[in-house]
Amino acid sequence: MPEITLTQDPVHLRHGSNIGRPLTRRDGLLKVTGAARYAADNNPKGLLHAVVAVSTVARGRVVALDVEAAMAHPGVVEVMTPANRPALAGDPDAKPNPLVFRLDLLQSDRVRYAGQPIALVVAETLEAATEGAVLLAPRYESEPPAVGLDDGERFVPTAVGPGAPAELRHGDVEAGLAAAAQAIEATYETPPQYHNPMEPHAVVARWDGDRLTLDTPSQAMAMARLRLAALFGIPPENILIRSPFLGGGFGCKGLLSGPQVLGVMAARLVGRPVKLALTRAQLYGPVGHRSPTRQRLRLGADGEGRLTALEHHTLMSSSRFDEFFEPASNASHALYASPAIATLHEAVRLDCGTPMFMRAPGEAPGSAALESAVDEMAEACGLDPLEFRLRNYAEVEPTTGRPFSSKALRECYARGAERFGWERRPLAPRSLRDEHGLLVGWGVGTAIFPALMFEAEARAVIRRDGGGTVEIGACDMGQGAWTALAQIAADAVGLDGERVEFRSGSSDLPDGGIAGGSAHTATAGSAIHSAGAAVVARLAELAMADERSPLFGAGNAGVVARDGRLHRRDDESRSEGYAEILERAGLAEVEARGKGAMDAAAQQRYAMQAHGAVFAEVKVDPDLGQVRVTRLVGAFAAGRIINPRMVVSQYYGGMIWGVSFALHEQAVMDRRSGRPMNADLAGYHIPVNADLPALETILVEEEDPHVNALGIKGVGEIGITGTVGAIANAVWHATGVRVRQFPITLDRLLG
Amino acid sequence: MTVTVTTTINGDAEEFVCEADETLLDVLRDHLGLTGSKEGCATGDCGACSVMLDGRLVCSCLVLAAEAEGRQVETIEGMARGRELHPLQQKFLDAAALQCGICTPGFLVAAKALLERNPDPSETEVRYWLAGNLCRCTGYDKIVRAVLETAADMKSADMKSAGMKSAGMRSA
Amino acid sequence: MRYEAPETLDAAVALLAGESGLAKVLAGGTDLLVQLRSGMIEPALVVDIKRIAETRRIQEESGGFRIGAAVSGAEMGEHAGLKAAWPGVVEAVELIGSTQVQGRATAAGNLCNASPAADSVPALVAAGATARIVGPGGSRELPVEAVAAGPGRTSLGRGEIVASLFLPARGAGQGDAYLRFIPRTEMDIAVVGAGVCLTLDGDGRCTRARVALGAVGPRVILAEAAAAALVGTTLDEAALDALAEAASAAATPIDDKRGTADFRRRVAGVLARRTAVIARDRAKGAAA
Repeated sequence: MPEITLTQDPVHLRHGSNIGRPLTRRDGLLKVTGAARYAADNNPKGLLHAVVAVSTVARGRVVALDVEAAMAHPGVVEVMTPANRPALAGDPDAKPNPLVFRLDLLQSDRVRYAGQPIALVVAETLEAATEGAVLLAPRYESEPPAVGLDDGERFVPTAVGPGAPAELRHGDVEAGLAAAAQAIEATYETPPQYHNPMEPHAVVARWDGDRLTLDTPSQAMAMARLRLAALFGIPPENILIRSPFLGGGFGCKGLLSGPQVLGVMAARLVGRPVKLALTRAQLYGPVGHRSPTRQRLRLGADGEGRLTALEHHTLMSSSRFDEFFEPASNASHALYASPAIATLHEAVRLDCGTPMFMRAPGEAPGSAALESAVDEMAEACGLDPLEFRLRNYAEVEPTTGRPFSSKALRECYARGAERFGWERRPLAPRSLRDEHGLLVGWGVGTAIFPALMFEAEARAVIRRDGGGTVEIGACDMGQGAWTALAQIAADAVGLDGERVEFRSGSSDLPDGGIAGGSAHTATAGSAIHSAGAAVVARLAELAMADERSPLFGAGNAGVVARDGRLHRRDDESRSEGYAEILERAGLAEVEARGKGAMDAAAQQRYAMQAHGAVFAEVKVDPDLGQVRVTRLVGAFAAGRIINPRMVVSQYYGGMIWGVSFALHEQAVMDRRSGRPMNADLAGYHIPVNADLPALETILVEEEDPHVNALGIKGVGEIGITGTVGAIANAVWHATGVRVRQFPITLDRLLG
Repeated sequence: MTVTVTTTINGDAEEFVCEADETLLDVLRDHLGLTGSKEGCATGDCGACSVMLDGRLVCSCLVLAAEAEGRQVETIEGMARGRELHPLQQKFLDAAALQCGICTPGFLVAAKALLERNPDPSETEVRYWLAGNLCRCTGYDKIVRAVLETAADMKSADMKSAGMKSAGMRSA
Repeated sequence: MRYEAPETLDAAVALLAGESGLAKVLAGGTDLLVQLRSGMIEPALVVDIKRIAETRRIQEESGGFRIGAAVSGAEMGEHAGLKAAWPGVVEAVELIGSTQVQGRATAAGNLCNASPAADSVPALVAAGATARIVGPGGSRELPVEAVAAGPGRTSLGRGEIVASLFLPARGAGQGDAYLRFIPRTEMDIAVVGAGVCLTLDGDGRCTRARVALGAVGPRVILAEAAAAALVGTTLDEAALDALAEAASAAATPIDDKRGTADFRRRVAGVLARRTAVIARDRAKGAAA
């Protein structure tokens, strides 16, 4: 276990339930004092520093590396190349299932993308390792790379995203278009994007014989452990991963990346602890990105502005050697009612690192295009864009006819519109100006993200001292998992939050699953909930079987756990404290485990989605095309909210990612070299504080009895969706110019 | 070439030996165990390594460690007085104005520098002052609000103590 | 790499002249450290000039200001006299990077880095600033527009350093301004920058003007035709239109990831016009 003492909630409100309270972060004190220890902050005794040398060409072979020059540099201990890397038990190019990605672990001299690791220099200091890496002076035999979506041969992938069909056809799109009073076709482009967490990937690895300890950020420790076990041929139990704090993940720390494994290999090679921290520039290659997309939408609508057909076709890319296909068209599955819907995907293979899940994979670019197209259709029909969306409101999932497990989207529209003042919006574009002569525009976008669940396990203990412990190897990458999960844990064992020790963040705890897919709170929370229920049940069995207990014979009436006591459900005056029950039973503690997973039957029966509505105001300089977002209001309904404070942060974060997607972010690829030309934070723009207005979010209440026992849908990604479209639509409303290329840049706006 | 540097860090005299080309950030993190300052970019674009150097807010990744000779360095580790948090730290904590936390030390050091110069900043001034601190999570809104609220709290605390003084009372 | 922090200009010059390998001057370090860390340069010697007294101060001289080469942007912004006399120059310097970068970055460093997009340079050129170059052969004064020879290259000789910049006395009826255009609100490199310095007579007629454009050519452009469009006018709409047209015509930008050449030419005109209006208003204030 990492030695971490988390602070407790300093505000001692007591309203019974821990869930639903806006508690502050349990990891907050460590983070505001600089004491929170992230992977790269670990400096164990005897530590060596590793620096990775990466390829500057995108396709070819490394034909020469000056290993002698690097080895001769003072302080350099070892240079790891394909010639001397430790043997691996598992093939890094094996693909046993779609969630195992091929890694570049110096298996050959082949270069398959720019930024691919081609050697590692290990030295006594970071400076020596850095200089050693420069001295390697690699030479290549290079071939022209395929860089853009037009550079490869198109094919239909067997699956998109994590195993979804690449094509779905419901109804007859061509017939719907033929019968339409209005039809539009529009093509939108989105650029390659990089996750860019503020913490670059880092690993501190140490081997003790066949035991491996590593400090490294991971959104899924148990999966990372299995991968390492397979690669190094050791039992998973021999591996301890400590990941108490992730400096942001957004998908690129979901699955173990190649460089993290290289750090482990280097530690094995030199027999000493090794730290490998990537530089910012090195994040542009081996740790994933969002593929560029080109999306063609065809929509038809009848005379009343009701959709008759919706076709969403996406062209995207994967790497030449592995498979991840951004499922952008699937954003059109469940949002708008239409008798005919087709979602299609095609892909090309490029000489780039393999794309990866990135915050709202599929939905982010898909929603950007869909929400723009829907706005264009509303314009064609002469309707207010919000009214158009309401006319096409999906009462059931349009492609399957399944009812939604819950859907408060109408209320999101209403409350967001009211807060924003949408009713005062003139229909015609370019009709609003502010006092400085800037063009003003208002736009709306609908947000949607599926309510997913993975699998997780938790352990709960109730002790004779009246306290409890809940353990789960969950990941706090900033979203507030430890805070929200600790709240669920306290309710699950019927104790006040301060009486429950919540342990998390390392791989020797029960598998907390993946912090991704906006599903971590639902999944890990469900595991905790069921572990808590199970341990309370053990305690209840003890009490109900003991005639000295006031709960004796409660039997079918059952008990409820609250404030460290069990109460008879049918007579709450009859109760007994946990301590007394265990004391009399002569037990120090009781423990139980529980699992969290989706309810397959409910998933069959219901469509499960979180929804929201985002309203944006932009101001545009008519001479320069400069765009500023001046207001942004998001109303979201995502089932039960465990901690409103953490959730608001997640919505804000998602909405700012939306601003970034709409106006700032893009990797600009050099077509000749296949390298991104802006592989740093000076050139790869993400919004800064000064780019943003104050945001507003509205938490729309929604009870969902089907999605899981806790009614949680997840909030981590939905904020991006809807926001991109809302901003693009506001830019159109301000200027009358429809830019179909993201990010919307000034030259594109001025034409 | 190694350089011996005598400096003051968070009020304490400190002497260290470093390479001429090592940055102040690397020395803080790797030699002195002060890992609260983070490296997000090494190009001065993210502000995660913000420290005060002779009373100026700087990126420690853009300062050679050798330049610290005879200077005063203040880092996030020196912001709290013992167990007593700086009002900004307390506000960030209470308001949950942080997420993954990697950018948090830099934001706090930068915000403290702002309030020392300008105890009553406007929202726009806060947003521009903190434009060199990137947050990808992204918690800009809560951070700005926390800084503005801290400024208001500190001002009203000052006014209270000034009021008590003028009334002939001893301030606590 | 050797690090030296001499206390006199002579010592600095001697160190630089005596080094056979690559020698670099460290002032604010906000460009140099990035180049060092990325392995772009591997100097044998770095000479830190911040311990030299005369590089660290702003002094009044002949009614103008001499700004030491190691004076940071933040320090320039805090100098009330300098700010009142040359608001355009100070605002341009203050646009370089973030608050953190302002704590270190210097106008002289910005000049010597010789980026065509350097924010302070068009304002300095418009203001008619000069640079004092100190070297093994003594000291000379050079117009700032002659310092950069091309992207990343200066006209300085071996062992020479910029010791200070000089801004002349602000004349009666004179006003300066600088505007830059970036897609983001802050923290960005200029897509186009425009500096204007002009003098109005008692009737509000422009008697002298200098217009400089940044980021639209390999070096900062002193746009003489654009300036000529203002001289003799009261900066009425026709004159401003002519200025904008001349500025667009003077620009020789390239297409790059931050904007197309056409777009930048157009922005150069719009920006020159807006900058001239600010400079005019300041000149009127100065004339009053």
